[in-house]
Amino acid sequence: MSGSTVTLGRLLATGLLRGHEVLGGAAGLDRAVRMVVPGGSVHAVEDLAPGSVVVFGPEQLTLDLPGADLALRLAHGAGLAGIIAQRPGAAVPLATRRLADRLAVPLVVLDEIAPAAVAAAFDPYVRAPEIAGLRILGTTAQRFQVPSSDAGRLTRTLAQTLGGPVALVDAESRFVAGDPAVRDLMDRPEVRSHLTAARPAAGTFEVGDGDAVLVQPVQLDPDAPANFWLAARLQTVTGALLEPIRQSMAIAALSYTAYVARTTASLERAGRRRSLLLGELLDPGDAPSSRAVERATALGWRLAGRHTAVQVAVRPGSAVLRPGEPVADLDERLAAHGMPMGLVERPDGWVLWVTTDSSGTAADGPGPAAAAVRDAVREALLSVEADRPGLRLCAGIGGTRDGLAGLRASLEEARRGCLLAGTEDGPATVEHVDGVSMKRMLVGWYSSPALRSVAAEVLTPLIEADPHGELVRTLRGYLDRESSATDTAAALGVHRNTVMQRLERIRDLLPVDLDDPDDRIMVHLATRALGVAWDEAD
Amino acid sequence: MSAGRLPRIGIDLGPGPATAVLVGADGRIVARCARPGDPDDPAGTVRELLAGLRPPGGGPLRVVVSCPGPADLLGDPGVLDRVGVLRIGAPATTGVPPLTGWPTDLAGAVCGPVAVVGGGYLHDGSEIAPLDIGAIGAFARRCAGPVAAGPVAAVAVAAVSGHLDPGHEQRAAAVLGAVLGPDVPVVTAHGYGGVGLLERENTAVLDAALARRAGALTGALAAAAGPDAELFLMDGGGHVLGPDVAAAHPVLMVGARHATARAGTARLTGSPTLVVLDSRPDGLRIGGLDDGLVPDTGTFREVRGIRLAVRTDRVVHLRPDGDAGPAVLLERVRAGIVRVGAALGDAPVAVAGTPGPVPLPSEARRPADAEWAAAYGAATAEASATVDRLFRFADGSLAEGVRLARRAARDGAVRAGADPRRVRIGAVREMAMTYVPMPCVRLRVTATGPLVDPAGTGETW
Amino acid sequence: MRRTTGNTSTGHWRTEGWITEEDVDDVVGGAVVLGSGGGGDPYLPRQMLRAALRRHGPVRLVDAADLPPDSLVLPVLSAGTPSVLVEMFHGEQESARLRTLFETVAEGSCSAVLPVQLGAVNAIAPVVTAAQLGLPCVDADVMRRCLPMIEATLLTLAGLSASPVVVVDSRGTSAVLSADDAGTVSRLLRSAMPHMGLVALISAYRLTAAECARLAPRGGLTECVRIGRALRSAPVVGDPAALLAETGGRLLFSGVVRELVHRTTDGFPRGVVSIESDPPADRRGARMMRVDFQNENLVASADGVVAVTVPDVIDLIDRDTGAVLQTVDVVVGQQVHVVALPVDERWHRPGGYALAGPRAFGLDVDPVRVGPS
Repeated sequence: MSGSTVTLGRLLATGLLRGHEVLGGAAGLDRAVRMVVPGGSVHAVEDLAPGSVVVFGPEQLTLDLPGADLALRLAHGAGLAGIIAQRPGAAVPLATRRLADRLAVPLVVLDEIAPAAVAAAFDPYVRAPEIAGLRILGTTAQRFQVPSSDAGRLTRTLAQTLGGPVALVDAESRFVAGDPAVRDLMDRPEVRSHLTAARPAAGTFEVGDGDAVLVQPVQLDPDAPANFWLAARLQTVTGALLEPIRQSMAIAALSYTAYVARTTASLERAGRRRSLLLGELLDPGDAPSSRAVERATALGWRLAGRHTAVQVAVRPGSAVLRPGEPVADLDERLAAHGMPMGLVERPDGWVLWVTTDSSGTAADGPGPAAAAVRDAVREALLSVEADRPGLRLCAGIGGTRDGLAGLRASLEEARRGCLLAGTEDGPATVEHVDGVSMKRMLVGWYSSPALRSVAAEVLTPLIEADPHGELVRTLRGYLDRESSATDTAAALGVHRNTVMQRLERIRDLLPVDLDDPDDRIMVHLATRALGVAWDEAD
Repeated sequence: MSAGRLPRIGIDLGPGPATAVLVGADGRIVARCARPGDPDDPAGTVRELLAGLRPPGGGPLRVVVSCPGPADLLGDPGVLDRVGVLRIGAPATTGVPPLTGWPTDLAGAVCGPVAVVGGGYLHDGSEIAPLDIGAIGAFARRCAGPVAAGPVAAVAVAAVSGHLDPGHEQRAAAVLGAVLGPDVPVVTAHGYGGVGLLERENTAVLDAALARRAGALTGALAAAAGPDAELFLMDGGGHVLGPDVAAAHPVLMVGARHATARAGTARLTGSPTLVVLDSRPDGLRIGGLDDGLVPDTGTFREVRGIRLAVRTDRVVHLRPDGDAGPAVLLERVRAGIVRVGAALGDAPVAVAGTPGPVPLPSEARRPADAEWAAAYGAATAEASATVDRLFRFADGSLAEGVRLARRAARDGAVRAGADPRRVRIGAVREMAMTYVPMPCVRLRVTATGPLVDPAGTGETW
Repeated sequence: MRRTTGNTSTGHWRTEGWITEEDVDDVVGGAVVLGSGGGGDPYLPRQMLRAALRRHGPVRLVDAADLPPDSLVLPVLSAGTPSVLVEMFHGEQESARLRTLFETVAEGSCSAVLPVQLGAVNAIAPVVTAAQLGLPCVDADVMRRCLPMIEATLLTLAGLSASPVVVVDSRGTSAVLSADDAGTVSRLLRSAMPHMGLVALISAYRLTAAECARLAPRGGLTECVRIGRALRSAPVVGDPAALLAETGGRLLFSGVVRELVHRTTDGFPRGVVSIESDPPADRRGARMMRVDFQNENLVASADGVVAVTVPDVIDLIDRDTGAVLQTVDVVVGQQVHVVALPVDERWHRPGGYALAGPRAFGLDVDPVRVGPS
């Protein structure tokens, strides 16, 4: 990739001539090539401009006939940079190969040759790399005038324009669209360190066979890490072409940025309107205005019927770039599981509900509908978490209730269930809360200020001694697991002795006696209540 | 090069001193013995050399002798017996009768009954004419006598395209054998490969005319070697000849001594491609080997104007010259090295034999045991076969022809004594042909391999 | 050969002499030179001639002008494949059948045999035929070298047709081929050959002695003898100086054969011999000569510069043995001289080039003549 001079050696390295063989004159492969032209006849060679590579078809030059030697001589005299011709049926005589060596005129053979096609393929790279580059740029600009509507189309279009495979990866180099083989190039150490550098920037890396991989960040915020990377694998025909290609990728990246930004903005706008609408509907004071009901209906929200509410939240400390980031994915997965409504933002998470027709069935309760919803939500959460390591989600499911009032109640239960689920360890925790469950009682208790103050008081020595919360977590895990140090160690991923050592310390610090059943239940409740606020927080 | 466990003795009967070496299973020379050579009594010389070398306790061993064959003595027509010559090919080929172009003295010596009878084959394998059994019977009776001279010593039989189909030659030989009995050898020409009818016929006639002497030589050598010994002679390619083959085809022994010295030098130096300066009291022979084989010169050997079905060997023979001083001779040696080495790239130059009347250039390497090179070459000689013929194919597949050629070469080498598991088959060369309007190709390939030990000599597989 | 030449009362250049057994090696040796790398190996022709002369006695060489002007001459050619001919050569009976059939078809009586081309086999076959028929042989020919097409003759240049072509083989098969154009006759002949075992004696061109005297350049056989003698007289084996002096030829190149490329198109052996100059001090410094051949050597070029082309004669001479080589028998490693000899001036006219220039063989180079040494 050094310099911008095009040589026959570099042209051959592009792989555009599959199955070629250099029979002689290899010493001339690094001579500058000015143009690639189809050869009309052997004698026409001497009229070609110096630096030309001439391409002969079998009609114009047969390499085992004496004309081949003449062509080499004429090419040498005219200062040509090489001869490309079809491989003859018999071997090319030694005399011809030696003559090519002696004159340092590269002699390249192909099994099948179409001179015009070879010249057309090579010539743009050679005669005016800048023009070829402009052509690429122009095509790119034209094709990306309208922002790409999806990642698949983006990578396809860009690959066609650049003439090499392209991939789109996310901030963690996960494959999004395009050619997976290009994605794999992101694992090369030098590429990886470039992608994780503080300030994202375009980069070019040699990956062997004369190929290079070019990477281009897609950034919504120029000061933030890249949201995506575009990567392309290309032949380094000439340094002169790399710059236009880089610019083409920047155009494509910009186009995709525009799409992402517009989508995000419209989503946010729509989301805000939906939250306001929901707030109005849930306001316990008045009956909703007819206009609000109308808008809800327009959005496809059902207010009549039996509702089962779902609230989803991101656990604090989860690895998310933007708070609303998982919503789109969640919407998609939930819709796939029969909940197409779309999440609506609330102060402490997102909600949706599923509605069945009222048909005078049994009383409120966790019927089959609720159980099915719980399973579906859990699966949806799990699949989103699986795609985004570091993201932790939790959800609550409310009871199944009738009418708008029932929806309000179910939503409240879902909120509390979500709160409860946030107290538990493990992936995609989902809690179902309805009027008769024991958990409902606990939720009320957890959310009571009196208990919270007691809990805070009881656990204060542990929190002061260990602001990271390890001691509280260890204590809660120990009590959750029926005082088994072994199970606790397994759950926390630490050695049993570590658990034993921490328990020693906890016993010293706590103002109560863990061996006393009353104290013990008090402390257990306190750790769980505290978890709502403190769990995983640091 | 390791060739089983049989002790091997190689013998070179000169010119110059007769030498012999005993070679162990590891290919190293175990013992050496030399005697003044006696061209008139090769068997006696062999007996003396073996007495000096034979491992104590007796037991089986292999004896390979490189010696002048009767064909080397063609300057004297007395070596030739009177033979019958039968050509099968009429009505074609009658324009050039057998023995045309032979020197008068040699033709007179060999010339018994001659006949050109109907038969032979066209290029496509069909018969030129039906085999004329009646004419062959008449010819056989002429060969048997009652001419005053008595029966011929042997009969040579050559048929047009016999190398493609030996059928007519074999049927004729059967008729001749029935009439003449077992004491008159019948030499057929089809085994010499595809060259030309005259070349094969000439070779068969010479072989027939020398058969009695050759049989006497191999018989005497076998007696000298003793019943425990497996006897071989050497051919002009530096490979072994079984005594029966040598007796029937003594022409194959032409050039054997120099080829054997070259093969031995190649193994002593570890260079299968080299130029060898074979120095003997009668002069210096410069010859080459190309990957262990005598390089093809593209021409046939002619002995006193008689062209034979064996290839010439590019050998420069320098004799002491009363007018030429050492400097002039040395210049000729260097020119000879260039000439022989031209086909061999930058081949190393090595010396074999003992210092003779022709000076040697200082750059030539003299390996240890150079004076035993010929005997060593005999002791370590391998069996070989070359196929050079037209392959026709019904479906026009070159690959099939190549496969057949390789198999034929391998089979030939195995028949010549090579160990089937260790036969090496050389590159198959496609030879140019003048205009032939059918799918066929002329292929040439050589297969070579170490000799297989006879059964019961301790091999354990 | 007793040969007298001189200005006689008629003012013609006359040849009178005999070809005897003593001339065999020379006439064949010279014919090989004119074969230009083709025309067959000389061993068999030597034996053919020797056997015929031994059986039938010497052959008288005549000048066509001394024959009855209206009598026919019998042009004779051995058609076929040299590699098959060495296996199944001619019998004794073809000559008489050829003459009978030709005289019937051509409606005339032959007073002498006429060689058509000069190559090892085809300079000899007419002499052998003459011996077998008891006819004299005209010391002339209509090609002055060896070319692979029956129509490539000076007679064609003079406007004569090759038809009728009469073909006989040793087994009694015969054919008469006739067509308006030479190409058709050639194709018919080629398709007939397999049925004749690829070996046949043929005659072509209906030609009277007077036409022969007018059109056929004289002295072809005697020139063969002269060239053969010159070759034999070389003081050092393989030294071409005497040959070049006799023929006005030129030494083009000396070197070692490094590669042979063969390919067979339409049945003819074509190929390229690559020869590296000696001494090859270093690879870059060595020059390369290529000799393109199709049966005969056609173009010799050194490092891409064409040195000599057909119709002039190009020969490879083995420097070890002095033998003038058949190009199909050349092997890698052989040390050779490449020499070129001029041919009859008539070949160097546009019509000659059209019939026997390099482009007639599909080689797109301009004809180059043997220049001064």
